Amino acid sequence: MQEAQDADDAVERLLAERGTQLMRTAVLLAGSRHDGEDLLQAALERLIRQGRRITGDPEGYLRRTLYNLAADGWRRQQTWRRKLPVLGASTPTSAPDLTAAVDLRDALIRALHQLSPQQRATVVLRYWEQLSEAEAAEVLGCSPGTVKAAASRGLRRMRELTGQLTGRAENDFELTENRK
Amino acid sequence: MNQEFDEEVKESMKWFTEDVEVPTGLAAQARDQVRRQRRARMTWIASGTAVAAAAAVVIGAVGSGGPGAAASHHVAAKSGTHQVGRGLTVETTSVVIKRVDRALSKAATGNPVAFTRESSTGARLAVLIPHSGPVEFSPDLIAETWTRGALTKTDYMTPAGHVLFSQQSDVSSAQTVDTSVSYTHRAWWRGTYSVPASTKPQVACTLGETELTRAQWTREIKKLLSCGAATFAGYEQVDGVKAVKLKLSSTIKNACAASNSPGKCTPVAVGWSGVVWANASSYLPVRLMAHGDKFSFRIDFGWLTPNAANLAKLRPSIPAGFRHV
Repeated sequence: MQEAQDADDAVERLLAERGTQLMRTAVLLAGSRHDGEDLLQAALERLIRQGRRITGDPEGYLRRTLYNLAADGWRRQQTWRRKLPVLGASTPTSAPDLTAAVDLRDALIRALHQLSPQQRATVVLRYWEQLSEAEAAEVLGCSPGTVKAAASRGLRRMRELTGQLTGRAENDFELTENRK
Repeated sequence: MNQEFDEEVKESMKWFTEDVEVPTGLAAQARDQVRRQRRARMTWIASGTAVAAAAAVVIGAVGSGGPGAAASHHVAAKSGTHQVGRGLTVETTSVVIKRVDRALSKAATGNPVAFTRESSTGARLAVLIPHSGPVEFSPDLIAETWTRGALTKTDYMTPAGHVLFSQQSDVSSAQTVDTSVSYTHRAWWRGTYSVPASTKPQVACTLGETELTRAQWTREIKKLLSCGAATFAGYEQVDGVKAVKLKLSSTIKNACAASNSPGKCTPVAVGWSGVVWANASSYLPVRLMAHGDKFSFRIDFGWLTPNAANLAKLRPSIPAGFRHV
């Protein structure tokens, strides 16, 4: 019983210290606060189930689980393949204002959630967590080359979708494909 | 420009999540869910690469939980899956009829004791015995269940009638109290835990939700007929009762290949078909037979007078000399 209590305490401590960052990552991976909460809970359940079998860093295990659940298409039918409404190209304004900036961010987020689960996980790892390709590959359990390709395709797709959603020309952005 | 796009992606993520905080109670919810999953679990399991299903119950507590944390089969388990051995697991809510006996007697005082006898092929009973780990009983067990109100008891026995395992569940309070008896191990244990949250009413055109009151069950049969999930196939006499014969077919969704590593799930749909015979007057089920790929089961329903003898069937019976674990 004491071991179980210790494990519970460890999870509580982990969430107290790192919960916000983990929750934000989950929201990005899942697409909404509600789904992110479910995703993080699912990862926590894995952590709790593993319990004493986890050797090393519980946070590392939790983060890997979070990303792998996401990359595996957790709740794929409800979340991952949710289609964006096709808004069509609006007329670009000649002088972007703050509203346009918000629109762009909104479009980027929606484009992020149009990516395949693996691409999205990769983009979040690279651009949210700011991990290197090698570090991201370790989290996802794949090769750095796979990370590189997924990030590249993901960003390209985001650019295309963002262009569609905002009417902003795709070549307004040049894609960074060789980010270190 | 490359840098600009990178920065926009980063800023968008930051903007999207800037007011997100981890909700309070998330860890507790995860713990509760894990505990529920470690307890009663009715799953369909398919062995090998084919969809060969078998009913299994995973019961008990693992790890460091003492007797107080030990738990047992709870027929109201609503969600989640548990993998037993190799094969394929399906959400518990999709198991067709196991809980109907309990649901059928939820009505007010005076209701009969609902009785079901289920025989199946490809079925396994897996029990997690406190401090001992998982034990799998012989396949193709027969399960007899008595249900009335908040009380349910199921005896799992061999075809010859030798009881191997028994479990009683009491959900009359805010807590579920399960009492499990392993005749094989001459041991018993009791667990108390929170009652799982109820699920939304079943509205889909399928026989997926079976935890229904008598009146609901009657409506369910009618619904299945009206929505096309069941087709009328004439009248037959079943054990002397005039019954409506209804053909059903459905799909158990969200099966996971257990050969995947933990945490991974490739959704697989498992088709099954069956026949329900319902009382031609009350629409209460008399018998259900179903089969899928390499599994089948039959449930006979009975409605027993709530006399002292039948009510006693709802109570746990712990033989003298059995040890409390």
